[in-house]
Amino acid sequence: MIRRTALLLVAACLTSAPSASAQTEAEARAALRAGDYDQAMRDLQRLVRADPASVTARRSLVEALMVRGRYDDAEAAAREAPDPTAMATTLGRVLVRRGRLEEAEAAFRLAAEGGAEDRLTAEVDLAELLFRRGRIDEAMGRFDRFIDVYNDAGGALPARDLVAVGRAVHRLSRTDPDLIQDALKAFDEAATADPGWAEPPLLTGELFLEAYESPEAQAEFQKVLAVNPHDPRALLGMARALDFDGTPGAPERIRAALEVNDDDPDAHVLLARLSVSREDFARGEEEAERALEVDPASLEAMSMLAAARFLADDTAGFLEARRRALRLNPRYAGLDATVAELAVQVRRYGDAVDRGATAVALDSASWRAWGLLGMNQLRMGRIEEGRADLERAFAGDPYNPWFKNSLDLLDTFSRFKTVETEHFQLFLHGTEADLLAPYVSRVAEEAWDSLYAHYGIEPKQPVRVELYPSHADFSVRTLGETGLGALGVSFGSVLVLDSPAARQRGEYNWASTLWHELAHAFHLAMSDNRVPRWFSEGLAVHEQRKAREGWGHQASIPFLQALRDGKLKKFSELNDGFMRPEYPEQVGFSYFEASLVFQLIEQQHGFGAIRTMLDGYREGQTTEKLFESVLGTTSERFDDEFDDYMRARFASPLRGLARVGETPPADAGPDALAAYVRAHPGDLVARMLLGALLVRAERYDEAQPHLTEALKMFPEYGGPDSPYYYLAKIHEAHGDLERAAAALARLNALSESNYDALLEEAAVQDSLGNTAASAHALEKAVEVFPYDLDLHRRLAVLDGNLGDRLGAVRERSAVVALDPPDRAEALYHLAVAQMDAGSREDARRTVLRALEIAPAYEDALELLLALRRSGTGAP
Amino acid sequence: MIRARTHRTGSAGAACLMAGTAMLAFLGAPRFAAAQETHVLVVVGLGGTDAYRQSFAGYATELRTALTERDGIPTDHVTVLAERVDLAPEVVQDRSTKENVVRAMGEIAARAAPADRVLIVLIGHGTAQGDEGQFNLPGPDLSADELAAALAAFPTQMVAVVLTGSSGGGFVAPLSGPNRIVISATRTARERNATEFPRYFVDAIAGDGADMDKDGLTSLLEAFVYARAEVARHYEEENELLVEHAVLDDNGDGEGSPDASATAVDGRLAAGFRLGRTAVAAQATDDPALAKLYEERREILGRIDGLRASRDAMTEERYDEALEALLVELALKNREIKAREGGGS
Repeated sequence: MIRRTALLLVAACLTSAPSASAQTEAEARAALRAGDYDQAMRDLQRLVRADPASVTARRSLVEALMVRGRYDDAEAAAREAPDPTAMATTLGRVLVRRGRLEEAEAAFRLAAEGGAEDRLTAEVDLAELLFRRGRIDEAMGRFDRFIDVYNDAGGALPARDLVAVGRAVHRLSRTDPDLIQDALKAFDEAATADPGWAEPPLLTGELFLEAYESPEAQAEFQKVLAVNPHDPRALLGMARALDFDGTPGAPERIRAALEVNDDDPDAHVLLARLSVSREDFARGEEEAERALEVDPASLEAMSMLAAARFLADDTAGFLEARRRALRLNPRYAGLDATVAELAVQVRRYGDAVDRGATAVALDSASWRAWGLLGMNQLRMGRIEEGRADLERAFAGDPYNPWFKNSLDLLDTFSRFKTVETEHFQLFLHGTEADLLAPYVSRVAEEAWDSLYAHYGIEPKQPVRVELYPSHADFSVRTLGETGLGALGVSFGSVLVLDSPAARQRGEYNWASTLWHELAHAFHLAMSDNRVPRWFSEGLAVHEQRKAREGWGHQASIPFLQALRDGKLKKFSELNDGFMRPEYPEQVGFSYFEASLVFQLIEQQHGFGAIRTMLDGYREGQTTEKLFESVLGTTSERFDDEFDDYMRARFASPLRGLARVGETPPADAGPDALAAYVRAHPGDLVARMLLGALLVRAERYDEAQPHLTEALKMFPEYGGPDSPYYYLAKIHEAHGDLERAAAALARLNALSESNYDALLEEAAVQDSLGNTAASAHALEKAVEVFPYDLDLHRRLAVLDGNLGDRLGAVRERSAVVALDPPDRAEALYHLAVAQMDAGSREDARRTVLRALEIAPAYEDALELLLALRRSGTGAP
Repeated sequence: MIRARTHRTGSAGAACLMAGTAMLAFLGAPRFAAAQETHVLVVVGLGGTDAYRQSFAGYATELRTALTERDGIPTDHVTVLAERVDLAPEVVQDRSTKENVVRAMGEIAARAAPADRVLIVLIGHGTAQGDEGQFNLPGPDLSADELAAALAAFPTQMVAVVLTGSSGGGFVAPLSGPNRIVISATRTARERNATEFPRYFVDAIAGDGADMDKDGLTSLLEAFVYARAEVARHYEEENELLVEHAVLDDNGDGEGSPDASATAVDGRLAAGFRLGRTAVAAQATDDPALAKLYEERREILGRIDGLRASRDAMTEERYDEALEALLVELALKNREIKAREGGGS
């Protein structure tokens, strides 16, 4: 509702004065509205020639010419009107589009002050122009007048004027967010008044998109496209909505808009954004320049130009673009905000903070900029500053779900505990901090030492590691919204991960993920955040595998099938595998594929080449240049070389995956599968399926040859259905525990999160008296699921037997941290372990806690006496 | 996934448990052991399948063995009724028809002294009629109201009813009352899946794992806390949703509590209903010197309780110092007792 008085809903029809031939002009306008622009242009040109004084026909002609990008003709048609005042608004719009803002301002003033029929449109166009020029207070004063316009009209405004009101009120929402609702209402009324006019749903869609309501925005754009499938604004609106959602389809919509007008500056600006997001800064710059050719005053194009140059480290070019924008609008925060936003996409969070701070200094009501500043301060571990700036952003833009989600999450931070280690600050939920801290700190420090040895540099310290027991919270911390598919994220010296509590047991290895994210911290530090996505992801997976053979993405049957079928990205397009995957699995495949790049590089050139490349990125070099200078090849040649490498490396399983027939499904039964295998003995999947089926039916002797054959074809396969798993079962059934242990050990070496197999290995090794191997398997199991009381108890005993007293203390501490029902007993055992480890004082404190719960606990009482005796000689 | 953790009382919960244990130690005064007897009725309902029949019979056997051999309850004070006598003929006295159940309760009521305790354990499946529970027996089922009516035969005794199967929650309100302890494996009658609770409840009674305060006795509160925690752990280890939520009611308000403790709304009576016999609990001795030592030990335990109650008024250092001194005194007293008992130190 517009403030001050209540609204009355009255439909008003937009009518035009009949001119040369109402029937013909109506047809021409219908063609225009249906997107038959060329036909409309021909008809309207004829009408205007026949009746030069027809304002409506001329306006429509100018509109058609503008849509098709015939700007010179559009301007000429507007200027040739016998009544300049009547066409002044239309002329002004052409001039705005062409970047001639002073002339446009004069035209709007002429229409507004000259009493043109469309003077309200001229008024709001003028106000928007002033706003664009940084004359914000003047503009806001003009927008404010529209409230009286609406309220005084008593519901009798035509659609055109309702749209003007809506646009003005929309601008006023900058300082009064509730007015967004009024803007929507005005557009809605305009749509009712003139149902065939595209402008109201287009403005509504754009407003929804601004308010982050993508589905609603798309619905509005679809309404327009249903009538006119060529409407460029609707097509671009859809493209922006799809890009916002991360859904494919944006480039196609942009291309469709460019088919209508190849010079459409808005389309080129959007292409620039997409290019910069994909780290194609050169293309981004080209597209921005293209937009500026048509509209040299386009602040949006200047922003994209600035962003492309900034991220390409063209400082002079960035400053030039920025100066250009500020000359036009000295208070324009949008450029720095855009640079901040795109800097985030390429992981330059420090730059995002700097640009955000600059933006809010220019315009303290740029809520977008406050939000970018706050979110990125949080990503850099500047929690209190980030919170304060986000609060400010949210006060100005309460519709922003990222701000709200992030602030809600920050409210829960009081439930977390901080644990400091040599290089890290662990931020763990209070319910599991005591349990996880010893394990996380051990893995973190081990990873630090290993990565420091590889790279010779240290990221900024302390590195903050946050683990969230709720995946939704992890997602909000990372993106500001739920739904992130990742397990961990690195913002440089802030790492954010799912806690093992956030995941199903058996699907996640927190230690492996921590190592991966810490590797990113080193890569980002070494390259000053300029390393491309594919490089850092691939190298992080490579680091995981160097740490533990089975960590990180591994070769899988689906990956090999994609390789076989040519569905993997070529090396030179690997970034798109992460940023614009063609199918969901392509992201995961790209991780593994990228890691193989580093296996190949290290094999051929040594790890030093990788370090040199990271240095090169820091110096601003491109991948192409680095491949030439460091590896002596081009990315095009490397495409072929890498493809050959993968096919050679996986030649054996690829042979087993050659399409020789239709593999029967798993539920086909063993006889059907066996018949198929007899006909196609080299079919890897069939062998595996048959082997598994026969093991489940306890037909072990029949199963074993198939599994053995499958392993010969694919010996590095460690998936949950790996032949190693089933062979272990066979060996156990035959009582051959040595071979069972060996099979399980191999399986667990090749996989990172097969919890059940780890427990099984521990049990088998224990039966064989292999205490160290059993303990090792349980330690690995803790990296998957640390919440099993019995596991920790068992491991404590094994550690004790191995003489690992500190290990025993760690495990007994874990039992206590898991808060078992018999807490007194858990504390007692911990006290015993502490005493054995020589920590007399710790043991004393712990046994007191046990006795506090159970004073009659005889064993604990005796332990207390023993501790006192060993300390002071007293009983 | 719902994280069905083992019962996590956390530090606040530990404080409650400690305070509760203080109460336990105080309640461990000699008064009850001398005159009060315990009468037990174990009712094994319809199994439905051979597997359930076998496991229910096993639980009943294990429970009876624990109660008689470990806890010292006379065998003629323990009645076991089951679907089939032949499944455990050395243990089962008769079929668990409704008629036999009610009759057995009447027999117990006839012989029980006013201050005696009664423990009724139902092992089997329950169903629900709306919110009201029914326990499946050979022949007509036993409804909550019918069981409540039969309990009227125990106006002065403390009665504990443990419903270990599905839909037991439908019995809590009807059975609730003064001097009554009701433990149910499920929160409501609508939790209809077969339960894991009986296995862990029996483990608690038969073993030492539930004796959290290490006094050699297992209270019904301890058994409840233990079984509840182990049930949650079972589901978590199996990667399954927790579909049974045990509750305990002993304050007569008809509402079962999941987090019962000796100082919470529910749990005080259950904390005092203890089973088992140890040197600490066993008060009977002809040796005046030993009796004196027992008394001295009780007095030390009383001072420890007092110290724990005033913990908040002290610094941690002072508290630990004072606690340690008392515990050392207690430990030395234990040694004296052991030496006197002939157990050595």
